[in-house]
Amino acid sequence: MFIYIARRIALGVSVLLVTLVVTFLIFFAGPADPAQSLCAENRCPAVKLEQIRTSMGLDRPISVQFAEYFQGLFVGRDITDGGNVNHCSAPCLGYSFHNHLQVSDEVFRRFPTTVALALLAMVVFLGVGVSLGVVAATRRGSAFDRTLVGVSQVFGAIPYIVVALLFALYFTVLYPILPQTHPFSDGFGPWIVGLIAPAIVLGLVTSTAYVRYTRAQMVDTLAQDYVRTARSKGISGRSVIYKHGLRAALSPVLTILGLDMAGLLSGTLITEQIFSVDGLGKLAITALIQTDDLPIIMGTVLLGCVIVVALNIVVDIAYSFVDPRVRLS
Amino acid sequence: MRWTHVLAAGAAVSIGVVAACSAPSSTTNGTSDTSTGPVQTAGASLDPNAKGPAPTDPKAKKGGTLTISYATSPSSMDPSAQFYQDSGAIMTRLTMRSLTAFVNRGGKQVLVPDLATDLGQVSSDKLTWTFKLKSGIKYSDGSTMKAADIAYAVKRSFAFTATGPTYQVDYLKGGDKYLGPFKSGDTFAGIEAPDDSTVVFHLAKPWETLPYFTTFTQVSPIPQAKDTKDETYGDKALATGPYMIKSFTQGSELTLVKNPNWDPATDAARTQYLDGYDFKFGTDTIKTQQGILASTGDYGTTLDWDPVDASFADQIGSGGPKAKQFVSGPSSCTITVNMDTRKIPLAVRKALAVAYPYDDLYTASGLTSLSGRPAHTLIPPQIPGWLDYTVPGLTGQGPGDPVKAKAMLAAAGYGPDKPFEIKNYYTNDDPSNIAQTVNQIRKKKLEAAGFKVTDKGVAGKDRRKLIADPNGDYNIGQSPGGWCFDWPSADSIFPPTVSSTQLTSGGTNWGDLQDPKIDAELARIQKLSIAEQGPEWGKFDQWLMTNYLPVLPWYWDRSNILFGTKVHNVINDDNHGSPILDSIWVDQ
Amino acid sequence: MTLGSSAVAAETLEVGVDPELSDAAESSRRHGRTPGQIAWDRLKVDKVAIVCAVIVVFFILIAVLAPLLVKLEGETLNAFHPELINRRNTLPTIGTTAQHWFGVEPRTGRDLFALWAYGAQPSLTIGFLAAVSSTVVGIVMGLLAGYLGGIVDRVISWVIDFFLSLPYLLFVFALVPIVQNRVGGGRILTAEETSSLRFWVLLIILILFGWIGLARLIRGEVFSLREREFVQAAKVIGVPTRQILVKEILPNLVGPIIVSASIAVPGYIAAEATLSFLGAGLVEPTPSWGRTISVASGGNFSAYPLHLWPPVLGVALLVLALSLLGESIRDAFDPTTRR
Repeated sequence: MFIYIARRIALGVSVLLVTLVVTFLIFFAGPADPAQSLCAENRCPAVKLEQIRTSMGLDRPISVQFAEYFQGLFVGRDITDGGNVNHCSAPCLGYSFHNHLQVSDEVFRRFPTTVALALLAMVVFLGVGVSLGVVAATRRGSAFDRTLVGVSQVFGAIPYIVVALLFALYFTVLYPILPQTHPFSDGFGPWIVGLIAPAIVLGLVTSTAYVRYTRAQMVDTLAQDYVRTARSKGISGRSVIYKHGLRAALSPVLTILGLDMAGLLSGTLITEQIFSVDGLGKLAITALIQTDDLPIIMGTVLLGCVIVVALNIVVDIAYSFVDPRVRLS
Repeated sequence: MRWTHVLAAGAAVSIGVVAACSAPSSTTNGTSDTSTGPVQTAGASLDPNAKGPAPTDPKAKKGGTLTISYATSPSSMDPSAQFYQDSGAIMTRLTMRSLTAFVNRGGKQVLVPDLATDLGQVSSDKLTWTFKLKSGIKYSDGSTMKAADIAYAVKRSFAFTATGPTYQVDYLKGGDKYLGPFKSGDTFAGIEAPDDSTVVFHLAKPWETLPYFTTFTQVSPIPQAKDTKDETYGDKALATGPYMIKSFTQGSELTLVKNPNWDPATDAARTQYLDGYDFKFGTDTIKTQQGILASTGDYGTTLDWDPVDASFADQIGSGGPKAKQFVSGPSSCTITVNMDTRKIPLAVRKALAVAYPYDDLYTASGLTSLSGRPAHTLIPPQIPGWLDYTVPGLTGQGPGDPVKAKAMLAAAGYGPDKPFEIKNYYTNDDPSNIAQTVNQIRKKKLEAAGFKVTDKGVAGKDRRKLIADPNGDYNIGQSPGGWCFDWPSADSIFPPTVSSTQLTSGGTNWGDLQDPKIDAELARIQKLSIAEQGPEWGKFDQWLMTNYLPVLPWYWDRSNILFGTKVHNVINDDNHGSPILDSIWVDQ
Repeated sequence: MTLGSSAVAAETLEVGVDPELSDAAESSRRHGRTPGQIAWDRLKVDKVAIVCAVIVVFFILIAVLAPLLVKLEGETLNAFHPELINRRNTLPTIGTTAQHWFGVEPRTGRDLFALWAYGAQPSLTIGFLAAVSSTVVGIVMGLLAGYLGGIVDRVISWVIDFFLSLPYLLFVFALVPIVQNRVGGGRILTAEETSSLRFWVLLIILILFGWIGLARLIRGEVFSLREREFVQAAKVIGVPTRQILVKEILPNLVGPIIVSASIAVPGYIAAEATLSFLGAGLVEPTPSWGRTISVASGGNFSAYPLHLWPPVLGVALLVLALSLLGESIRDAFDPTTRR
């Protein structure tokens, strides 16, 4: 068991390290020119651009920059910015090129929004998905079951952007039934209320998969011998379904949940973009498209990878407790 | 500078804050002017004897907060680095006082003394300007302002010329070699503060319009001891105006509250009606404008100064049901199509002017009569001395005449077997698709006139770099795509755009001109007094366009201010193209 | 394990491989006919499948016949009609007319039917090309990893793990300009060159991230197949590895491969629309539904809904039909499905 966990973690760490290098190379060695995006309109002659590059440290070899970044991540580093020396303690993600704030502050300022959106969506898709899936399984073959499966199939098959976009356009803009999004700085109330609309869309669309998955698991479980035994012993139908059936059916669902949450927590790009939610995904896209703010891009990508890798490990380990065969493969 | 608007036009314009004292057709609450009628000019006004407090509106209610939403965000609130319409309007009207300031008097912008007691005294050789300061001016933290703080701020501005203005570099003594106090130390011959209440400017050449420059926030006092030595100073900058910064988060929000140490008796230019201002940056323009038009909830006290989406034009245009919620007026910008005179012969430039599809491109850019007026001169009409001339074919409007252009090209020796090649860069990642479709239309129309067009699509952020290079592989559409005057005299238009020294600085030259005749003419006019300069600049405009045709004038940009039903006394500053923020009051 | 076309999958741009599909191949071997024949017989009587197939064929016809249809309408692609635009508000002066079946584009007056019909072309081409290519890559990687095992398997599994931990959308965003730079040789291209180059760049990137699911599936299948008697027997009598893979193992994987490919097609079409919507996809003058949706929804969409709805319905219907067809194909290959 211990060896399996150790191996799994080692694998995760190796993936993270390579991601770090690859991301750094792609973004820092790519065609982006952050100095240009700092210039007011076109008022930057070549000399000025060179000055800006020097002040950002972009004129040095890529290996030196990487070594510094790497050092910053683990032991912290001093960053010279416009005549000031600031200490940035580990894990140091550097300073934003754009507004000179610490990347870690910028990233963690957005993180609660992304987490809240993911959790709210989870409430929706678990609540709706699992409960409807269970009901459908117990009434297998009924009109309700067939309608539900059909609707979830259709709803889940339409491209997500279309569903999310139409929902946003019609329910928050044209007929503003649901409140619009607000940044966290507008206060807790408006912030959390604004997340309802995106959470509903994200949750409902995700729930279509959970309906079908829960239903399939539940159908399987209810056909198992031990459930039949319980039934034959005279335990009431409801008790069988919820005590014996649901518990067994839910453990594979939880596995998928872990992976899904990893995806959502690392930034719900499309949802955040469409609803203009001030989360990690929007931060990353803005940095990528508009400002070439490399430290911000690196920071968001790294945080996303860490979440995905960590949750993957957790899921795998949890699964290995449930199903010992996994450890041996 | 309104970035969104400029991007929409498919051309990047330069420049930002603008100052002016002539204001012809100011439009006040409810009388939005959307006609394309003639524009009148007005003379510049100076009032060296203005005293505080500024007159207040007897109808005005006190208190409340105004929310201002804006699609983009100022990159900093540093007074030395700012040179934009948005941060300029915020700082000059609300938080930062300078030596001089503009005040709106019945729709006319008048230059008055601000921290200084007059508009400056110039020496007989015109190379020394002396300003005496009012006494008892306090910062928002209660400390007293000193003349040395202004001298320091001016020196500090030399460290921020990458983003800020560069007039001080050209005009102040030793300015061409000074890099600011962080790199070059405190010794600088261009400015001094001999005592606590005197500031003296030493010039390298006469500068008649210096009192206009002293309205800039680069001249607003900064105590050296409080300086963070970078743009983060702006986040908590000490205020001298009626409001001060409570918090600033770049990209999302700026909150201003009343400055308890502002004394209205010393300020002839500003009023203080509201309890505070809440600026929201990076907002969704369409959503905000829809909300403001409906004026539900917080939108009732919200103001938006992004260009209004064309689809709302029927509602807010004259006679529309929501016309009372909209104010529009000239901004300071002339939008142009830049051509490289070194690569395109004059005869071909004239053919291009005839072939150019001004109207189609204007509409395809999403622009309407709310956005601008067709331009036929480089100087906008609100500048004193504007000459209303017309070079045939240059009206800034019309569908373009490919037949006539073809004939002109043939006369210049170009035909189907030997077409003239137009090369341009365009943005191919504009999310609104405007830059891309504008490029296609231009290409089709110019090809119809017999040009060969090579259009090169690049990302918007790359295009800005490419078109700032005067020696790139292209011949139209280089930077700047227009010019916004910085004060109401054409000496803030022409020397910065057509003098030969500008070609090397990258991205601020019209036509890539380098001509001794032009330089001589510029120098001659600049030696005249302000009043004499006006008409001479008008003549210069006509002479330049007739003989050189470096750019095609396209339109004079207009400001758009949309606000909720509870917002009152919104006035456009015709020479800045932004609302006069401190004069606004709200119902609660 | 990925979930078909759920929101999470959309957010990560994963192209669906269904978790339930792995048993299909194994159990279908027990019948006398080939799994393909059984599946075909089942599909022929599946009403949903037939309706979906008709819809898909309809869109394929639209795409193929686009030039003809647009000619029939009396229009050409990307012809500008400024005369049909109200200069006061930049909206079209007309709605649906005989000359312009779907009206014209606000601001420019381009014919929206032409944009729509031609817009089906890149969607379908990218969908099918990417599905075929990523299936081939997935099969090869899966076979290699599963059959050779050892170091090859470790490397491939590691690469799969690596790709799965990347934030897809961000990487695609970042990679598009880089790949374009590399493929384009670093020089600046004209509008038409960029537009067609972008098509291939998009295809490459979709394939790059698209083979993983199938590779994992095949790897697992091969793991169990290679221990079976017929494979062991072939090994013992000295059949070369390549022949074992192609002749013995691959035929047993036809079911899951067809199913995975058919589910991948709508995934790629949705991915293309999503990327174009977000601005990392196809560029002018190549028409694209995703970009039209982005442009129409970016402005005041309610002022001229004709701009938004045709591409929205187009991509939604096409992807829906292809997805349901894919599920029908999966059901047809699945022996446990009760009919």
